[in-house]
Amino acid sequence: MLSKSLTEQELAERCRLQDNRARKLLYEQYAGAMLAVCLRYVSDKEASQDLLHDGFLKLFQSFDKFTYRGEGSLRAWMSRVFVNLSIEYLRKNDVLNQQLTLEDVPDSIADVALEETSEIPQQVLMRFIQELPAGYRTVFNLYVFEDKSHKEIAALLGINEKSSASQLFRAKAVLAKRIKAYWEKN
Amino acid sequence: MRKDDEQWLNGIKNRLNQYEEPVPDSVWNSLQKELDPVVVPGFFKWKRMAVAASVASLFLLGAGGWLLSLSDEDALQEVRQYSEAIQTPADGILQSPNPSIDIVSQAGKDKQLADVAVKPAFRKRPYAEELKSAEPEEPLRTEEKMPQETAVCDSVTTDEQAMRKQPEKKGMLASAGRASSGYTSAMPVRKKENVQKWSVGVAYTNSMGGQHNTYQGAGTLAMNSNTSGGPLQSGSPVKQEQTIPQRAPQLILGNVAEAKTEINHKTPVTAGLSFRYQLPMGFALETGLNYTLLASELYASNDKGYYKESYRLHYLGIPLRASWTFLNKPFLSLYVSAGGELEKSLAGKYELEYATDEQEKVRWNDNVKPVQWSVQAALGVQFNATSHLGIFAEPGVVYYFDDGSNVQTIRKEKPLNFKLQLGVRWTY
Repeated sequence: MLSKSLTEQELAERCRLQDNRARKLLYEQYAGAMLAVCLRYVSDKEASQDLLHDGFLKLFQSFDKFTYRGEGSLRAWMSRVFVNLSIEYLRKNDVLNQQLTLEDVPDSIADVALEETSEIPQQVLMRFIQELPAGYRTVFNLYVFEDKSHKEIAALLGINEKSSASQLFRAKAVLAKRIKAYWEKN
Repeated sequence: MRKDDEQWLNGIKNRLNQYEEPVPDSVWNSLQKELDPVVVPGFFKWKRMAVAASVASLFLLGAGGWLLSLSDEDALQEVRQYSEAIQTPADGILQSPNPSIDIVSQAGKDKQLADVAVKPAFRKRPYAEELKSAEPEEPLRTEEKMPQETAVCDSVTTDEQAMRKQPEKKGMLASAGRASSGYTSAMPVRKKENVQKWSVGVAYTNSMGGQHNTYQGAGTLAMNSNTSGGPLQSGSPVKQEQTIPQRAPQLILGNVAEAKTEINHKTPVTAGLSFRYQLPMGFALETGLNYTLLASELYASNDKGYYKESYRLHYLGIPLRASWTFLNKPFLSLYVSAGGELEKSLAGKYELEYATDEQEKVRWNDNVKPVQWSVQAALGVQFNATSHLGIFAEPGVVYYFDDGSNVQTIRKEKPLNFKLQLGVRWTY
């Protein structure tokens, strides 16, 4: 009855009806991506798995609030839930204030070509981001992946815009350096 | 993105948006525990349906065989008693071993019962009252009022009340020690029934009541044969000009000792649609629509002549049942149910024909439209082929209250009977 040929909308509708098969299918299709989202923010593997579990439970009960708005809207909605859960976790664990000492941050952002990021193995990229201090990492993720402005980031994290901008700069600088170093080695 | 020199950031974004981290099984396992049991989709479906179908049919064969052997014995016993009674000499008054066959004043009672309209099954109080009012109309019934009848009324009323309340969501936060325990979303711990609320079923019911017997002597399907030949009272008003013939075979055929009677009560068959609404705690309320065909034939003859009777009753019934599922696994559910049914004969024809060497052929028919109340209890077994589709078998007992008509149906001869309902149920 349920197969992978269910459209996104049908899947969402069945989940809304609390169809357990649909829920399992949803999990199977998106858990990997959602875990990746959590890991990008939270970095810690076990904490991410907990968040994955809690997030899906929350999703399963919240399908009443979801309105299908075209292809990709289901994933976008799910993603937002996990991002919010991750940030809440980080805030609770008070890690957002971690900072690198100034010597470790390069003065400028190295020039990274598009090909250098598209060819790098995904696990390596993930690791680079996870290894950023929590504050830089969060700003970076929100800016790059959620397309948030510094104003929005500042509001979300309870920092000011300038802090958001400078943390983004530092995140980019560290990442660029590491990507360049990777390509020099390989 | 925003600036040209941020192309590499776009690269990171696109790259990692496609990235999926391998997820350990433990996450889904603990999720599953907090949700309902999940049925593995697709792959084993047909195999399970085949298994379910074969087990259900085996069950039917077994139950049917056992019940048939049971009922034949009883039927023969009753028929023998009955024919012995008829052959009793003396004043020719029909005697019978069973007090319920005695003549009862029909007219007033029938009118009352006919006034009982088929009310919608969900009206609480009138249903209970109607059921109780059926009883006092039977002065000669020796059985006591069924103790389960009151219980059925009560359970029906309380379940209807429960149905009006919204099923409550019970919550249990499973993540006690988790970092994210700050938010308060209720994690529902639900049984399967709460999740899928509506079910529709189609079913076929077989009552173990078919009898085909031949015996010495003369019998009749009509209950109030009046030997004086006076007007018979039937279930419907009789036209003045229509002369109702006497229906006492022993008077018609004379020497009943040498008469031979063949009686054929056809197995009543019911087909119906059911609608079930799930309540918390495994309870459910079910109603539906049933069509039942009840038919019998009698043919008595001796060297003097013959006496032939038949009737066909088409009933439309509305059952109301409450059920409790006490075992609910992904593939199998077990439940008990109890309830009642109100049936109205929409069309019913009684036909009589006889002729002897002294009497010209007489043919007469009458419309009988009794209202039939019954109560039933059953044990149900449901094999779930998918989470939406199940095959079920419900063996059970049914008790038919006297419908006050003159027609000797199998329900009058055997008011307490076994039945087996088989069907398919779709759950949403």
